[in-house]
Amino acid sequence: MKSINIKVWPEICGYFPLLFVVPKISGKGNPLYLDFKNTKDISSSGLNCFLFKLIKEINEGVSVNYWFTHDDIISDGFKRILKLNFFSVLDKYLEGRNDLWGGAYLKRKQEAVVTFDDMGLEVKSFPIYMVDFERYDCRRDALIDVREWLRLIFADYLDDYCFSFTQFQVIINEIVKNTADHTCANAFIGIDVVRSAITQCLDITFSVGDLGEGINNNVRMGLHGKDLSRYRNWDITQTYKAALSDGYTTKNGSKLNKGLGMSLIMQSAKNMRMSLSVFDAKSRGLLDKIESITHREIRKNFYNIDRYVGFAYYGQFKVYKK
Amino acid sequence: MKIVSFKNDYNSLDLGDPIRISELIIELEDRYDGEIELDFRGCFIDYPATSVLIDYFIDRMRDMGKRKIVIHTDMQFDEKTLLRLIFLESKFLMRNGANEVVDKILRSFAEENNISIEIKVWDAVGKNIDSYRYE
Repeated sequence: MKSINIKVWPEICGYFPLLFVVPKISGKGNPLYLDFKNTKDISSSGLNCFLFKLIKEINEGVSVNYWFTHDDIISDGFKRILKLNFFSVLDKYLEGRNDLWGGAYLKRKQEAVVTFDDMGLEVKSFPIYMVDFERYDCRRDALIDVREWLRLIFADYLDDYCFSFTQFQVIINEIVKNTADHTCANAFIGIDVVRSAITQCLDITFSVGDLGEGINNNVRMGLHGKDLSRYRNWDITQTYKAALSDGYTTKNGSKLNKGLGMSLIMQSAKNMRMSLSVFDAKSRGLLDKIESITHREIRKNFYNIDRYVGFAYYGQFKVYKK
Repeated sequence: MKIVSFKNDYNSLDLGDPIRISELIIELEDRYDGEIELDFRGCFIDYPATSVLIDYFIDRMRDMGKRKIVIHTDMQFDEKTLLRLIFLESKFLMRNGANEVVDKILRSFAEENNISIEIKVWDAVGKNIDSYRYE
């Protein structure tokens, strides 16, 4: 049995982990060794990207296990990763490991991991929230808990900061709603809040990903009849032009779906001066930079990554003290 | 003019939750005068739940002659999107099976029913940045 060693990059922050190369795994039951020894910078949004990227790879038909050395387990980085729910969520996707960490995932009121750096920054990383749609009779019911979870996270900031919180809720709500409506998969959310002791300004980063097909594939799969033959060869800018168009939905039979979601996400990001990227197929699109829904404008704001990155949003914005 | 603040008066921050909306309707007063301000600031709004709340107020004000509803929100969207978030699937606006809310439909509804509807949009620092009126 061949052991699979994954030497995790030193930065598990930002959207870098989406670009991280996980070795191709072949054969069943191979032990997976996640080497976190060199990780120095760990954020919830970055770890979240790494997590669902890893799960996506694992889900491609291979059952694996992971193991750690004693040195790994006593390291600060490992403890931090543990507190951010990484293993408890990962275990749900690994055969026979579901009870290893006591099912610690998805407790709604979890404490943030707080660290202070030399520059006077307070970094609060919130445990990864796995939106487990299977727990709900109707997938959209999960959105109420997601919104409540966001409120709990940001409750302490709302009185003192000029924060369009409801607008932020719209973005997360619509992203997760798309996962609920267009996939059979779960969604994952990671959030970090960095506060400067000097400016008191908040720098908020988040990532939301799911294990679904992504918008590009979803639009393609939603084509039917004449469209199917005409648009079979659409590239990502064309599928996104359709997805971002007001009223466009791949769920035409759905009473609830009005094709509003992407428009709400884009408008909210612009209003909040948020930098918001979508990673899909082999591309990164800068949603907040798209000025009009034209093929040319979308092409201008989409970048080739040259490898499949799964499907995720990564956002960053600032909030100022009143 | 009666002001109903869903955040301060009812501690209801999620007006996109259909269950909370049905609980809220039980808590709300049974009758309202001809003029009312609905303050949604600090509250998440979403279709189709929020329109159920709007329907409730329109219904409770039905015998009041000339009526006026002012809606305050801090969710900043273009007019068309905002109208959909607030009114989509409102039973008073679903005309001829129309599934879309556009300003024209709202305007003709307001005129026919002797009701004035105003939406005021506020930013995060409490500044009024947009107003839309239908009558």
